[in-house]
Amino acid sequence: MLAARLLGTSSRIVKFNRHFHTAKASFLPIVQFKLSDIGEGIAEVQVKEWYVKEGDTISQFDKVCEVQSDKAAVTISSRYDGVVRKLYHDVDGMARVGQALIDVEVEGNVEEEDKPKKEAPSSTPEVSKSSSSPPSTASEGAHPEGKVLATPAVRRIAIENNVKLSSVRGSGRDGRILKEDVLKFLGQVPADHSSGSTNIRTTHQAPLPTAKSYEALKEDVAVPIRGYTRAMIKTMTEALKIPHFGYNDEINVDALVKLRGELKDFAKERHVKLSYMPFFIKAASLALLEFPGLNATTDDKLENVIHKASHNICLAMDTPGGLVVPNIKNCEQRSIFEIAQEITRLMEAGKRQQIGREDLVGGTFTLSNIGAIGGTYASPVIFPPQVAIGAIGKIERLPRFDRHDNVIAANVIKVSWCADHRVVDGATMARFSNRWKFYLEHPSAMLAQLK
Amino acid sequence: MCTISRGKIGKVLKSTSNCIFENLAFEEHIFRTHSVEKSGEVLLMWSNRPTVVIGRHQNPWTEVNLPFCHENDIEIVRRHSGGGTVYHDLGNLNISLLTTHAQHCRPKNLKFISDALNQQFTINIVPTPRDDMELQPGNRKCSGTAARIARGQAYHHLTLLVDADLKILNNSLKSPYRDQIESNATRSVRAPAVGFLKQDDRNANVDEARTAIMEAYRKLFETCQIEEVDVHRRVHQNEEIAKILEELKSWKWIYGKSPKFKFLGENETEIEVKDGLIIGTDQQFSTDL
Repeated sequence: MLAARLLGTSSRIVKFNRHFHTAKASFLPIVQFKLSDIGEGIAEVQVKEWYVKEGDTISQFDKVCEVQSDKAAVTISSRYDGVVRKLYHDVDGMARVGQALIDVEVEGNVEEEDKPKKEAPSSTPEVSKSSSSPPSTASEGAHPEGKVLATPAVRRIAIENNVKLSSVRGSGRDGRILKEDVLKFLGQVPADHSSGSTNIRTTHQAPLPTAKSYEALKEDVAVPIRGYTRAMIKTMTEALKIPHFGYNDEINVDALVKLRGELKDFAKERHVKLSYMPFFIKAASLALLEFPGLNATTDDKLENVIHKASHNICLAMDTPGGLVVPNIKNCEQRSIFEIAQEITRLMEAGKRQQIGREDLVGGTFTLSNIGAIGGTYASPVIFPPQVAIGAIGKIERLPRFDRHDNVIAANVIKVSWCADHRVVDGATMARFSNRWKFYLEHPSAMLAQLK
Repeated sequence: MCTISRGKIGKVLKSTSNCIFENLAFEEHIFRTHSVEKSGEVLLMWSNRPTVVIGRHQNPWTEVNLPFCHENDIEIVRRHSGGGTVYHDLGNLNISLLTTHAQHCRPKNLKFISDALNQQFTINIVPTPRDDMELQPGNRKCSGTAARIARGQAYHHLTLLVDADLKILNNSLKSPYRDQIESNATRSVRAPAVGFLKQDDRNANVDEARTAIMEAYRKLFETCQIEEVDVHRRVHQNEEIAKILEELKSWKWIYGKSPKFKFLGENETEIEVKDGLIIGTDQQFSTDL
């Protein structure tokens, strides 16, 4: 799907794919309890007997039903506490592994297994974070930790944060520990916290609103395509007429991290919000001086490739209205601080959905900062009529070898370039990427070209 | 599904009871209360007086020749595990292996059992893809398997015909009504040929078979306890087990647990039966018998 190749996040409905909610009593989410693999090497079993019916209250570990596969009679136990709202099969019906068995209206907050943590219906698959959807560790015979009552989801949060459930006071039914109890214990209500590999890059995005409503769809909802998404449809359709080729690389940003650290105070003095993006952009601009063929546009009939004099570098931005790609004019003439200020201005405007037309036209090259949200490699889509684009992943701390073959901890980012193969060849892209990499790994080289 | 290590602790329990109800109740009790993760795997073995055992979701009227069994004092029992109907008597050895759900591997169990038996006696038992065991040559079924999985644990149990009266076996498993019943209950898959170990090795007997399997099981663990259990006493002393026993003996369980079915009588009469009770019919019945 076109929508799957992102320049930035594009979901209109839900933007963050991991966030915590505080449990609200006013609405209770309905969770689909899916039939987990019973290990018989088969995909289907026959439901033989129900132990519950719609409207019954069940607790975790209560018997739900009996299923049978040839020789094995299996008792399915509930993973959740709550009220049974729907039975998906009649007796003698065939239930497929991985599909819904019953709907349970749960109290507190429960994550469904095997599903990304977003509940948005028309969600576009995001460039995945390396910490993927929760593993279904809640086996039928999970042992409660001591005598503490908590759902598997809550236990996982506790484990991930090294919290002993026995030290948390539960506010749920029967002293059950809810998600927000653990969060309060950690002093983080609400938290914008992601586990898994650390994402050192800061994001420019606004602090996320708290207590977002959480409710699964009860029926199909038609969402009309408007505004930015309409524009995206037009652009992406055009874009995929371009034969893309990709080129990926890994950059050691130790020097960059150090540099940004040194400049933090100075930037603050100048009221400049300094992220890594200005460095990426400036380095790209410097590299483009040597490879003007990449800072170019194709004309309609593909008779000419116009090498553009100004480096108007586009930034993929996630706004409340969707994906917007404004550009910073003449990066070749701006300093890193000036670029940073432009980024801030555009972000503010984007949040208010007030990015002007002037900022949207005339782009010559695009960079996507998807790493601010997560991800390593990506497959960005070229923004016509440009000929190249880059997507930069998150900063990860990974083991690498130094020149003496010792293993060291390095800050590493991955970059994914895509270019129009009708007018750009692989060698050019590779060399450009190497130059860009060189500037980032040796910032002094950028210094040497200061005018 | 089949994992490599078997764990460190095993336990063998040999039952002294010959009552099918007591043994099944004991087996179910162990399944519900013994934590394999904490206390290791278990092998339970027993034999009992003549019995026909139907699977959890089966229909006794379809599977069993009820009049024949009643006349010949053959018990009719419904077990908790799935699968089909079997006949056994004192010439049969019942083997039950309790493991975690993850470690449950029927082919692996059948392999070590058939290897042990093939070594002990001059026979050739071969496990089949359906997890039965057949004596070769001739594809003579000598063992049937069933399994039960719940709460993260599982047991695999099987029969082993060491010596059997095939005539009684065949008669008790052939229900006169089997073609008149419409039901979604699990149907037994009738084996084309049935055999028992003594057919191929005259010296085969239940005690030696039991010992051979026990020794083979022992070798799979670092430590293995062997215990003889007076199941009869245990069942009557322990309230929990007594309850399970009562349930197993109850009409409600044996007959009432049958999935809904339709009985097609003569003259195209139809009788609907649910939970073992007639719920509908298009025929008038007189009350004089």
